[in-house]
Amino acid sequence: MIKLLEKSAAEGLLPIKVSNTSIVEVDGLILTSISPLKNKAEKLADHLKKSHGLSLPNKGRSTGKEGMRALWFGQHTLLVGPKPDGKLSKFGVLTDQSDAWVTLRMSGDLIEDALMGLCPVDLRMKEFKRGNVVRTSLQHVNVTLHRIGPTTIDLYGFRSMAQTICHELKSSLTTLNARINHNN
Amino acid sequence: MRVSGKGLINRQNTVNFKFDGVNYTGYEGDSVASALLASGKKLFGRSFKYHRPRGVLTAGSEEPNALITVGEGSFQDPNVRATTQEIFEGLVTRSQNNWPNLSYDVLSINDLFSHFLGAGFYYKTFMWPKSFWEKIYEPFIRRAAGLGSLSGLHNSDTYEKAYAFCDLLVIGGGPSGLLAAKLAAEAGLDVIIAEQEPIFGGRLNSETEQVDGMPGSTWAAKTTESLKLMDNVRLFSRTTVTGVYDQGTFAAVERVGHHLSKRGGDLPLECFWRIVAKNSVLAAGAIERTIAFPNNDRPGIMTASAVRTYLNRYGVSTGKSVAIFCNNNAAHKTASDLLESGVNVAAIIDSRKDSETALDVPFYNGAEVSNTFGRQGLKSINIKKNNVETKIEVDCLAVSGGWNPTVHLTCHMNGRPTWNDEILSFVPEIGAIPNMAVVGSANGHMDTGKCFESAQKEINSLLKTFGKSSKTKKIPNVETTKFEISPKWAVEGKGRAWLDYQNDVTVKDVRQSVQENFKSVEHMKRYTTQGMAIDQGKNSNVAALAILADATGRGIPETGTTTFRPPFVPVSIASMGKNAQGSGFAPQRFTTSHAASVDRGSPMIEAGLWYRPSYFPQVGETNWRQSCDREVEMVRTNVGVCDVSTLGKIDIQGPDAHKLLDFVYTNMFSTLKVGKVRYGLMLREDGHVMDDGTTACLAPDHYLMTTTTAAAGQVMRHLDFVHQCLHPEWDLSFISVTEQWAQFSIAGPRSQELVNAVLDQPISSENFPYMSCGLVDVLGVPSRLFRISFSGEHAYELAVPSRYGDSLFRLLASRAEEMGGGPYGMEALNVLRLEKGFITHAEIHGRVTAFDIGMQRMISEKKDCIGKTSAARPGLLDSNREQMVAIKPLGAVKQLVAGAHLFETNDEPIRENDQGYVTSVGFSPTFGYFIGLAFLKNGRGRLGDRIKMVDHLRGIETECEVINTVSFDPKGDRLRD
Repeated sequence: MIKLLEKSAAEGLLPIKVSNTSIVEVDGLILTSISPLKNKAEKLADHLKKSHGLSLPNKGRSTGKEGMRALWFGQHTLLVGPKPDGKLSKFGVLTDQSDAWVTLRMSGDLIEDALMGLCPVDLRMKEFKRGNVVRTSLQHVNVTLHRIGPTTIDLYGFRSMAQTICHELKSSLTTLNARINHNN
Repeated sequence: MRVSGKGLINRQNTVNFKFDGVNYTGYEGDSVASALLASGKKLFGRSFKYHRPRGVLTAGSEEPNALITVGEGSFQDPNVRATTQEIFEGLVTRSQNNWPNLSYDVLSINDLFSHFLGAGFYYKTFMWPKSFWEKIYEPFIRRAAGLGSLSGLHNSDTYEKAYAFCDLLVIGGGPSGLLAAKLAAEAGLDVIIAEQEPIFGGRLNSETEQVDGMPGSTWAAKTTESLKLMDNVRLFSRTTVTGVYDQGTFAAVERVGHHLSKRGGDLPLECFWRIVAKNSVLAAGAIERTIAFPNNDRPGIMTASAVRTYLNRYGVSTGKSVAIFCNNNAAHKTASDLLESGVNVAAIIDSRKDSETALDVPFYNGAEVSNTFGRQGLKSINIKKNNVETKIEVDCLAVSGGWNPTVHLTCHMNGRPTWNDEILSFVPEIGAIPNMAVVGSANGHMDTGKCFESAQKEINSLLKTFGKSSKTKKIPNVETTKFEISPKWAVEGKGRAWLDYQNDVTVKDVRQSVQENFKSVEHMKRYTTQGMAIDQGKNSNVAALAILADATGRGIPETGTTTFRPPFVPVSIASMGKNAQGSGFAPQRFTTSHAASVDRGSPMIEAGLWYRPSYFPQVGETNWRQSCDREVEMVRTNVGVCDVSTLGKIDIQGPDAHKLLDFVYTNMFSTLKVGKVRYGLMLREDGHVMDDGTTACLAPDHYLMTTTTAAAGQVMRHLDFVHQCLHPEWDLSFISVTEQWAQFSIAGPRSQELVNAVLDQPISSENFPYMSCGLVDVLGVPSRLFRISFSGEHAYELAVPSRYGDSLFRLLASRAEEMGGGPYGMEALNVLRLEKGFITHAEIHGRVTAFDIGMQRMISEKKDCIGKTSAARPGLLDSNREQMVAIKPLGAVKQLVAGAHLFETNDEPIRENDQGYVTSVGFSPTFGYFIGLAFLKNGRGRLGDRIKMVDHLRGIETECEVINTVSFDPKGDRLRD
């Protein structure tokens, strides 16, 4: 029987590795946008807690852990990982976004400075702490950044712009690395 | 020549470089200027207009004369200041603006005709005959008057852009800046200090004064080292802050690779920084100005501070016999420094009558330099005292007319500097830049002790706002000397007295400007070109407006300054644009079928940021029209597949979703049933058409709106505005799902057959009629199917999650080909919709109404909608408005052209007779002629009329017939079949 083949958003573009810093795609995530219906935000939060053990994140924050997270996503919350409990739709609007975003995991010593060559926000650890989320632009592309750890940041970008995002990141990493090598 | 025991250069490391093809040697730490001066070179370039021989005037980024071209081929950089370019092994430089060479420049003949070439000459002379300007005058003037030039090759360098954030940005790494950074950092602030030189220290590296009992340069180096050890300090050397912008944002350019042999790899040449600082301290120092005396531009004449810099920092004596001409006591240091180094000081000429000196040198107080001699290098000067002229031989003249605080950055947000009579210069306006303090000589403090005091005072008050206090109470100990100055702007006498060296502007030019009634400082600047180009008048502005003030009888404060604008120093466009070359120019958006389309040889066209296939060429087809015609016929007779994923898709859910749709669309959507699709028209608040598209009702309270590709972002913003500002009470939520779904149009008489080939459960025309929608499974994948058509044929749009897009497109295209059909591109899509009279943003371009496009009846009378009231204004319903029609050619000329204008057949095709314009055209293989959509005055009342289409640009004139917009299947039987 003929089957449709899956193709990830960044297929053929990754991994990128510069010095000890690497970028890989996090594929196969279930991404669901959640937005509370009128006067049902509290019930939505309660049910999210009950069904997935997640609190609704505050602005610029995330809750949960690897495989089960809720990210502040502007006017919406992005549920990352689990398939949403069906009853959530009683209290909020759910929209599948699993194929809409390219999700990149960026790890290594260069990643903070490489992103600060592209994004007009302060991403230093003291300002952009573990669990923080920021929506910003990467050169001319809108992205969302989520700090996972001291040297690890996840990036969510438009699927159609995966090539441009990877190009910009690679370019920033290589110039930065050349600078470091020169200074050493 | 070199002076032993002097300088901060590394004499252990010699460096070889070239200037004008000749090999020179310098030392590590030298600039091109210092190394060439050390080799006895005085002539560096030719002046802008008169091609006069020029040498180095300064030792910094304000240099107007010594402009050179660095590098070769695609690495060539023009107009680099020799005073800021560090030498490195293998550096290749050359002089500019001369032919055949620097010493014998043919265009120096201009200098002989200088009487005719003064300010205003061009404006008066080259006005006639009018036709000569573009072909003769302008090319000649551009060739004769110029600076360096670009290589004409693609830039091979790498650039970088970066953002930085801090509590405090210190601009300038001289004594004030270093102390400010140290005090703030010790108190725990997050500090960035930017210094345009390779080493920190500013004037301390150029002077001999002691700080805390050690040479100033040593104190600077020690302070710099201590700052480097602090985690909360970032030191940016070779970095010039070039502009100040809103909300504490600063632009800065860092010269990363200009001093390195290796270029063109991954290491950037420059980095363009945007620094966001909660507070800033401007410690940019001051720039010494010269005095306008006759023939004051000869090579060998330079500022007194530059002479000290070359001596103390680079270990170079700028002459064997040096004279000093000044109006202030600070310049006397030049004489003492030179004497200590064993250089002969021929004279100090101080214009102040009561001045004195303890130095053992010939001293002329109350005197002035009245003329100079030496064509390619200074040989002698005339000193005039009590109307008696004395000629002395010197090969270097150090001049000081006072100091101009570097106020530029304080003026970038409309600040106007204020006049200070004590130092005879402008100082920054207090509070000109929010949260910026100005310290040191940038604020008019002309001795190092006062500079330190001002830095401490400002940092202490800043720290209070952070709830902190300074850990160091005692400032460095320095010997203080009071700065004394008397006005001396110009010396009268025979010969031109130069103010602006870079633009060849003299005292006479400024006075002539006044005679011509260009008396405002801004008018004088434009009349004379004073203060323009690379140095932006850093050396000449204050002196020029002093001359202007004198000529107009006003005071200097009343005369004021011109506007200081960013950038403070030249910034390459390449650094601001970073990697925006080639495909990096703009972000690229690719559909899931992109690779498959490219595999089939399809040329891509840009639709906004998206890339879409133009057509799919087949073997034997030699031009796009053949492919397009085939694809149109294929869709009309068989089946075609086209990626339509780029259209905006907005998922709208909630109990009040239908209210939003009714409000933003002109027509009714609250009556739309589940499983149905409706076409909608959207207006702006001004009643003009914003967008059109279909909206499907997928489930109760769940809709999917589609927009055009072009207006996807605009519609999303519009919906956000309506929901957040006009009706926040509505219970709904919407989000873009454009990227979530890959959507393909399957169009043609056999489209249902192709759709059923991939559906798990086949559909029929009966259970899935025109304008239906529903959830389907495509080979096991949950998908969405819409029966809508943009071609006029029986057609569907099939949407799958994007991860399956590539696979589904390949499958649909190959199945279609097996059936005799295939994929089609944008060209065929355009022709198909033109045959049906369907609009795109070529038609709804922002100036048309629903009435204009014949859709006035789509504005429902049963409800309100955005734009309804505005669209009802009488002027927007005038029957003589340009209304949308179609046209086809009638006469011998068969070509139609988008953008052409329409005229009555007997009218002259001039603007006054304009009847309308053509928006889209395409050759219809179905009908065998071009079809165009056009807007024509009273168009709907003129069907069948003859009209003349004229394309003035291409010289095409075609006689046309006005026809109905729908040429193909006017009843719509095929799409409902």
